[in-house]
This record gives sequence, structure tokens and C-alpha cells, in this order.
Amino acid sequence: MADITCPVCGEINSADQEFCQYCQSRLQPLTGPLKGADAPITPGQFPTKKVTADLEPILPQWLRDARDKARKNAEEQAEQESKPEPETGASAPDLLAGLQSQKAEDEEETPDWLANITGSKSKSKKTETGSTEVHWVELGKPNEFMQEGEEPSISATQEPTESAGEESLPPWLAGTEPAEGGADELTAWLREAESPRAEPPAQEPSPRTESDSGSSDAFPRSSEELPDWLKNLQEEKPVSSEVPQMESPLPEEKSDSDWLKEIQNQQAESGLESAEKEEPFSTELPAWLKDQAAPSDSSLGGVPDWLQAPSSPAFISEEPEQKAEQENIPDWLKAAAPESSVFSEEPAAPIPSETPDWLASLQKDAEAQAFEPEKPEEGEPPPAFVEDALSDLNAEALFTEMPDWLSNAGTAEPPSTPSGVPSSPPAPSSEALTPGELPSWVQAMRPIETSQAEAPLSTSGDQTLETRGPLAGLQGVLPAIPGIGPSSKPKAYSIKLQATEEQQAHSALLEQVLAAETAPEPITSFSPLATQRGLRWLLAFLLLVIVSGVLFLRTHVFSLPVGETDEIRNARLITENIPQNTPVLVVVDYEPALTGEMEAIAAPLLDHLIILRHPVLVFISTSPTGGLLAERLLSGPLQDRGYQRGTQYLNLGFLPGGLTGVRSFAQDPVAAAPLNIDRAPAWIGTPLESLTSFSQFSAMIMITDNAESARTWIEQTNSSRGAMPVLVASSAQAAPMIEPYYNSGQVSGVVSGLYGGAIFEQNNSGRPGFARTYWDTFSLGMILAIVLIIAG
Amino acid sequence: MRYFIAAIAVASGLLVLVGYFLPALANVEMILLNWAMILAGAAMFLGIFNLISVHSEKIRHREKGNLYSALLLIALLGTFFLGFILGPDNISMRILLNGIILPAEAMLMGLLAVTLLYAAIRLLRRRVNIMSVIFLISALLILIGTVTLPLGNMPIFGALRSWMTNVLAVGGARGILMGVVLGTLTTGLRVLFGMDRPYGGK
Amino acid sequence: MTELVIIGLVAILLLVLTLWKRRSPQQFRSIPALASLIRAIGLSVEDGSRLHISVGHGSLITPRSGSGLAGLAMLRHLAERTSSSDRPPVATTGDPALSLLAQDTLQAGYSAAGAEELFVPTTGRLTGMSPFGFAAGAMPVIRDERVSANVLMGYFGPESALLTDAAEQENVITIGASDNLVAQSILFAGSQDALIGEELYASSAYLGAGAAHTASLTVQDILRWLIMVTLLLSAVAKFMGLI
Repeated sequence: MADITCPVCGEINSADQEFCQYCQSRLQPLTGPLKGADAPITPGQFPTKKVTADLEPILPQWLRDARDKARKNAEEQAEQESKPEPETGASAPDLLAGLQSQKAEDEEETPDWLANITGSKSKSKKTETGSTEVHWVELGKPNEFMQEGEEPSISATQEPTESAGEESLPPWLAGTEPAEGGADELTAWLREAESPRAEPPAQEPSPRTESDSGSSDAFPRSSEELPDWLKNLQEEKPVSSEVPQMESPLPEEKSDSDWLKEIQNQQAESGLESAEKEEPFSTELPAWLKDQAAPSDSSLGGVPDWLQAPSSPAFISEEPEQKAEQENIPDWLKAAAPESSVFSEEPAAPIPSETPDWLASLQKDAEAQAFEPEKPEEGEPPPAFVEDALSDLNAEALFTEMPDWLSNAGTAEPPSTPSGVPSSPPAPSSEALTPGELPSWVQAMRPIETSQAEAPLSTSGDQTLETRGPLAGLQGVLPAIPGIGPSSKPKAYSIKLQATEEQQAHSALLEQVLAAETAPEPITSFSPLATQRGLRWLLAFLLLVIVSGVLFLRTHVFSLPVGETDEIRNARLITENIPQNTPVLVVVDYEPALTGEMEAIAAPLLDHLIILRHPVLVFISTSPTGGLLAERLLSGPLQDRGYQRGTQYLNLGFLPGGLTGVRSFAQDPVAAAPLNIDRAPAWIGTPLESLTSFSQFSAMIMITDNAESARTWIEQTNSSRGAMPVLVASSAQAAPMIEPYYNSGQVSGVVSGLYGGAIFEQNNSGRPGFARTYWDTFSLGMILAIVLIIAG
Repeated sequence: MRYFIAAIAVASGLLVLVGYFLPALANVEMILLNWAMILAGAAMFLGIFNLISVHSEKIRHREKGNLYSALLLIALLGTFFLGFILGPDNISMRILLNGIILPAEAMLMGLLAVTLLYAAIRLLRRRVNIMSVIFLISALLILIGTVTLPLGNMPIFGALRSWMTNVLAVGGARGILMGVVLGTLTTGLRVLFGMDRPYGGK
Repeated sequence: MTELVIIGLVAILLLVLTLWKRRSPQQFRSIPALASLIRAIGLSVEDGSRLHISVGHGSLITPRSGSGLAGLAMLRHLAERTSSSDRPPVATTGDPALSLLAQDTLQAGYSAAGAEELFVPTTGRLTGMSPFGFAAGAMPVIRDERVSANVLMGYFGPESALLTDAAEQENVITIGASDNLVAQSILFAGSQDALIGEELYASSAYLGAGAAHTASLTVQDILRWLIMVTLLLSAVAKFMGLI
């Protein structure tokens, strides 16, 4: 079975494994190749339309449950619905539609407090069967999400909010959902609050469903768990007060107040059973609410203006035909008839004032108690709103924008007698605000000056008092960051690199190393010295004048060198012991430029040899001018010896081939050099006609100005030379290089430089005399050079 | 083609090298060496032809020193034809040698005295280091040891000169020559094995 | 026969080192003369002047050929680097066969630089048949042809002093190297930078001639060490009377 290589860790696993045994990453892909219906959409291609009903199996469980409930609610609502509900006509997005979508779920979870209000039984909490996924709040109408031509095949789309938010409805709102799904009920009644309505929003009793039980978790079932302000409201609420349940989002054709109507219906159905139950709301208003309820110019006796029923018809006035209904509605809820909605952009249509009972009850209580600004009791949270902080104008603005249930919660008077409530037209939602100023209703909400000064901080549980912002004074405000408290300015972190001294030192060292790599190496350039032509001319003049003058004068001031060296002595002895009338090879390998020096060196040696041994000289050269120089030597310094070509000497001329030619000549002289300098046969008819090998020469004398030539002749003739002595007359510059050959015995004698020539000449009776002639000039020139070098 | 040329060069060099040590290939070595001498002579003509072409180009383009180029060509051709016709031992050739070639070269040699003296004087200005100082000191000692004074020789300087020449100079020269020999050996082997091909033009 | 064996071993060592792929480039000791040469090359190309390269008058059939061949190797790389200059380099020699090889080498350098069409055969010149004649012919080149740097690498004699003197009169830098001791002493005194001894044979390796040249330096070093050890041991043995 083929192994599979893990794409994460690279380990090899068996093919049947789904997860890697080393890193536990998935080996088998979850999805197959995309093809057919699963093929990805190419650009330009419209997505294939799907029948949404076919997608039901792939929907999550919670969504399916919501859809089922929505279908049921729709059926029930269709039966119970008697009045065509006006369309909300709200073209604006219903931001709280999602809340209503949870109606179906929360219908089963009616909180106890709500049940007590409405008189319906609180249902047991339904175990959640759906997933715990987040329920998204859907905005807009269902048909907005449909594609062209697509019919809303899924019932959930008709009631998207209902089905989607079935399980995720906030607890505080879950119990107040209407039984049936529909449009956004919260925003609906908030929207109603915006519009100048003469009647309280219509309230339709919504059947209590099992959703109440779900919301009971968030709301205390018993009075001890309810907030105090709610308890106070509940106590003063008559039995007949009914807690209307907030309707679930109704379809478009239903009005925003349907939920209230439903609540009323439920109350009628449940009867007085719920009335016997304790009101979840405390009849005793919280301190912050009490303070707010104490109006300075309100006839409600201390009810905050924002809680008082607005003077708008929406809040205050009730249609006569709805009075009967309103009497059944809790006072607190009646007062909660929204005059305006903070979410609506346009003034909503006048909504019949339908104050929820719970809110109406709150209003009655507020009237009865004649709220006065008083210090809150110990343990009670300070009122969030202070009436003194509000002005008439601000109060009016507050009432125009605040939800009804908040604005009328503190009023003691029923919405019908909002005598103390400043009648102010609902402020348009588009109230212009001066820059830098908080809206009036926001300002009214801030009980900063009074509540904070009068009321101590709450110590109940973990509820903290908000001290700043528009929610200042409120208690139990969720912090920005749970558990941490009020947000503060984020800590400023320095962007400067925090490095220790050691790290900085290391980084500096690294920078130096890197800089040294790229730093160009300075090249020591020479400073060109300006040529001094004057010095050249001076030197030339001095040398020319002095040397030529002494030469011309033929002075003998300087003494010749004395002391015969070993090399010169050996050379002299060898020349004295060469057999007479024997051939002697003379190699002339010097340049014409050194003729003066070389003739002064070679002339005494050859003169000494000729006088004593009368040899047959054979001249040869590896230089093209060697032959001519040999002729010059015999016709110059050795002129007195009268040697004749052909009988006493042979001039073989130029030997080509350099080293190879020398070797050839050493192997076979006659064959290597058959012709003489006159291009005539050299060996025939001469005393050397019988010479056949190189070893027949009695001696070899090299007259050379460079060591390479001497080395060539010495090395190449070594094998053919035998016992033939080798004498070298060399220039002073080549003497050091020839010295090793003398030391090794390959050379028998060396006469080097004018110094050696002068010594040898002294032993030759001063003949020919070239050394003596040149010696004074030579010495004077040397002294001049020493002086100039030292002086320069 | 260049590989063929390289092959010929490598084979010839190996044969001459091995033939120098092995008597069996001595004849082959001699033949190749003879051919080398012939080619060297032929190369001399090519070199002379190159020299003529360079100076002719200089004359044709009237560059600086074209007059001297013309004199050179005249002297070259005249000497060539005189020697070719009359022979190298002719009196005219000796006159050329003794009257022109030898004095000219001797003159250039005499310039060396001025040049070297000038260079020795400015040596320390051009390059100031320990080697330059040692160089000058050695030169002065040799000069002092060589020259004789009117009043008489200075044996100590003579002995010093002899010792410096036979010991210091010879020792240093041997070391330098040894390095030169090693360099010549490796250079020759590079050419022998075709790693260096100064021929072929590519 | 012993010499043949030694030569064979040296050849094998040279081949092995040439083919051996080094992981890191071989480090050479700094030679100021070659550094000046590299700088002079760049300057000559920049200012539109030319280089004068002389490989001496050492004949190829004499022991002086080694320095001539080393000079030709240097000429090859200098020609390649300076072929794009406004004024091409000029190579002068004192030997006919060497002049032919100098022309061939110049052409090879131009070909390597992809500028073979810019090659002029007369840039490789035979200036003289004798040493002083060669020097006399090379001096006008230094004086008249706008030379920025003199590179004397080959076999020279005392006539090299004339070349260095001519260069100094024209404010031209001279970098010289020769296997002749006389020339070395003259170049040391007369030129700005001189290469002594076997540095002549190392110059091509410093210019990046190739693995063979680099391997040659290694072989020379190995042989030099062997010779030193042999001399020392021989001297000690002689001193101790063993030999």
C-alpha cells in the first residue's frame, strides 16, 4: 500500500490513516475534487440557482428548528390575526429584526417576571436542541435576500429574523417576544415613538408562547431577583396590569404594535392568574429613576422627564377607542409606547398609543409616589437620571428620541394624564445639534452632577457605576472590556529599540565589520616625481667632462689594483699550460655596446695566451655580431700579434639556434658550423682539418657579458668537453652568476670586469694596456658617482 | 584547427623533452630541434617584415617621428643588401659595424651611466623603505671597494667588496634564480600541456 | 633519467592541482606592484590612453624563453581588459619569433573580449634585433604614443634602464619584472614598482588567468619548500660529516 507523506511534517504515514501519526494533521482531504455541481464558479458565470428547500438538509439544526417554529407561528398567527396590520412601511433597515427572529425560540422561554405580568404561565425552559452557533441578526426584509426570480421557498426567509434568532435572542428580550414572528417589533415601537402620534401605540396581545421560558433565564423569576426599580414598578401595578409580550417579528403587513396586542390577548387568555403572581417589577422605583422622576416642571411629581410620557400624542394621547384596551395594558407598558424611535430616520406614522401595562403601571406608581429627588437608599443604585439636570428643552428633546418604555417608566401618571409631562412635540430625528454638544436626551441621561454627588457608588455585586460618557450615572453598564473596568487610554509603548549595552556594543561591532567589508582599500599611489632635466644635464655634463678629460689627458693618477685573486691566477696558469699550436675555442658572446669593457678584459688574456702558446684560435658566437667583434678584437688590441685568418685563426661567425646550436656544435663542430664568416668551407685546408670532435679543442675561452650565455656553453658542452678547461672573461655584471660554476669546478678560471683585466694585464707585462688607459677614468667616474649619490 | 595546432605543439614538446633523456629518441629530438632552428630563422624574416610594416605605416600616416622611420628603413634595407651581396666580412660591413653600430650602442651604454646615476640619486625620494636604503648602501660599498684612490688601495674595502660579491650577492642571486627556475619549469609545463597557448590567435 | 622523473612528477602535480575544484578561492599575498598594475589598467581605459607592454628580447630557443612566455601570458589578459580602450595596447619585443607570438596573443585577447575587429596587427611590434636596438625602438613608443603605463615583463638586460628613464621623462608609471638579475636591480631603482624573482611568473595568476596559473603557484611553493628542506638537511648533514 502506498504511503502518504504528511504535508506538514514530511513524515511518511500509511495510506489508510486519516491523520498523521506524528503531527496529527489531516492526511485525507475532506472534500473531493470539485467537479460537476461542485465545480467552482468561473468569472462571468452566474451562480446556479438553487431551490432553497433542497438546501434544508445542510442547514444547521438551530436554523431548521427556527424555521419549523416559524412555520408554526405563522399558522397560528394566521388563525388569530383579525386585523390586517398595517405595513410598517419602514423602508429603513430594521436593525432589531434579528431580535424578533429569536421569537420562535424564546417563545418557549417566557421569563417568570413577564409571565407574572401577563398572567400567563411560565413555560419551562426548553432544552436547546439546536447548535450553539451565533444567531445572526438579519436586517431588512426577507425578500431582499432573494435573487431574481427566486421565490421564497424557504419559510425561514419569510421570517428570517424569527427563525434565525430563535435560540440566540437576548434573555432580556426573549421573554418579551411576541408569539408570532414578524417584523422588528422593537424597532417598530421605537419607531412609533418618533412619530407624533395621538394615541399610544396599539398593542396587540400576543399569545404567550413557550419562548417566555427562555427569557426567564435572564430575568429573575422571583421578585427577589428583579431589580429594585422593576420591583417597585411591579408592586404598584394593579393586578390587572398585564405584561404584554413583545411580539415576535411580524411580517410586513403587521404593525409594530402587534406585539402589544398580542400581549393583551395573552393577558385576556391567562386571566388573573398572572395577576396573582408577584410582579416581576418592583413597584419601588430605583433611586436613579426616582430622581429622574422628580420633575421640576413636571406634574408627575419627580418622574424623570425622559421617563415621563411625552406630550406627543404618541405618548400622551390615546385614542378614545383604545382606552379600553389601554386599561388592560399595564401602565408601565402603556407608557412605553414609543413616541419616536432612535433607529428610524423618518418620523414614523402616528402609532396608536399603546402603553404597555408594565410601563403604565410604572407611571401610576410614579404618580402615586410623587417622585421627588431624594437620596437613594442604601444599597440602592443611584438614579441614573436626575431631573434637575434636565431642562425643559432638553427634556423635550429627550422625549423625542428616547424609547417610550424608558421615557414613561418613571411617570406616575397614566399616559392619559400627562399633565406634568411637558408637552413638547417630538423632536425631529434630524434635530440639529450644535457641534460639540451632546444631544439633550443624552445630556438628560447623565445624572453626573446630582447622582454622583448624592448617591454613593453601588456596591451591589459587581455592578459598577458609570462615571463618564453618555451613560454616566447608570449602573450595571457593561464595561468596554469585561472584567477590567472602564477603558483607559492604551499604554504608550516606546518604539525605540530596547537593547542592553552589551547588545549595543555587539551591534556596533557588527556595523564596523560590515563597514570594513565595503570600505574601499586605499591604494598607495606613487607620487610622481617631477623629472629633473637639469639634474640629468648636470650629471651628463660632469661625467662627460671629467671622464673625457681624464681620458684625453691619459693620466695615470690612480694606481692599478693589486692582489691576484684565485680566479685570475688560475686563469693565468691555465693559459700558460695549454699545449702549443693546439686549437682553442674562443666564444665571443657579448654585445657591441660592451665592447670597450670586454676588449679591456679579454685582450690581456688572449695576448698572454698567444704570446706563450701560439694556439689556433677558433672564434664562434651565438650573436649575429659576434663574428665581427672577434675580427675587431684581432685587428684591434691584438693587432700586434699578426694572426692571419685561415692559418692561425678561424672565424666561424654566427652559430644559429641558441642553446640547441651550441649543443649541436658540441656534438659535431664540423657539421654544426661548416662555413666561416666568409661563407667558405671552414675546416678544409686549414690546420683544423683533422678536427672531428669538440673534445679536440685544448681549451674553451668564453668572452661574454651575460651569465646566461656562459651557462649555456658550460651546460651544453659538459658531456662533450671532457677534461677541457674552460676560462671565462666576463663583464663585471655577470661575475656573481659565474662564480658558482667556478666554485663547482666547471669553470677553471674567471677574469671579470675591468678590475680583473687590470690585474691580469699587470701579469702580462702591461700588455695591451687598455686597462691602464681606462683605469683613471674608471676610478674617477666611480668616485664621482659615490659623491653624487651621497650628496643627492 | 586550433586543437590540431595545440596537438602538434604538445607532441613536439614532449618528444624533445623525452628525447633529451632517452637516447632512443635522440635522433627525433635532433630533427625537431633542427626544424626549430629553421623556423626561428624564418621567424626572423617575419619579424623584420613586421618592423618594416610598422614604420611604413608610420611614414604613410605621417605620424610623429616618421623621418626617423624612413631613415631606419633605408638603413635596414641598405645593410641587408650590402651584407647579402658583399658578405659580412666585407670592409663596408666592418665600417658599418665600427662606425655606426658599435658607437651607437656604446653611446646608449654610456647613457646608462647617467641614467643609473640619476636613478640612484632619486631612489630614496621615490621609494623610502629599508630595502632602498640597503640597496644604496650595498652599491656604495661595492663602488668604494672597486675604485682605487690616488694615495693607495684600501684593502678593507677590497675585502669587503669581495665578501659582499661572493657571499651576499651570490647567495641572494642563487635564491632568486632558484625561484626563476621553478617559474620557468611550471611555465614550460603549462605550454607543454597546452594549458597556455600563446599561439593560435584565439 | 632522474630529472625526467622529477619533471613527470611536477607535471602530474600541476595537472591535479589544475583540475582540483577548490571550495574557496585561493588567497595570494599582496603584491603592491600588481595592485598598481590593475589600477593602471583601469586608469588607462578611463582616460583613453594606452598601455605599453614589452615582453623583452628573450629568444624562445634559449633559456630566456620562460620569462618571455610569462610575459605573453600577462599580455593576453592585459589585451583582453584594455581592448575596449580608445587606444589599444602596444606590445614590443626584441626577438622576431616573440613578436609573432605577441601578435597572436593580442589577437587572442581581442577575441576573448569580443572585439576582434578592433585588433590591429601592427600593435605587436619588433622594435630591434639587439637589446639596445630593441630599447632604442621602444623608447619612441613610450614618448610619442600617449602611453599611460609601462609594463615590462620578460627578459631584459641593462637596456631596461633606458626604458624606465624614458617613462619617467613622460611621467609614465613603470611596472617591471625580469628573470635577469641586472634588470631586476635596474627596475628596482628606476621603476615605481618592480617584481623581484619569481613574481614575474605569478603575475598572470593575480590577474585571474585561470586555474592552471593558480596551480602553478602552488606547485612552485611546494617545490620551493622541498628545495629549502633539502638544502637545510644537506647543510646539516655536511656539517655533521654525514656526506
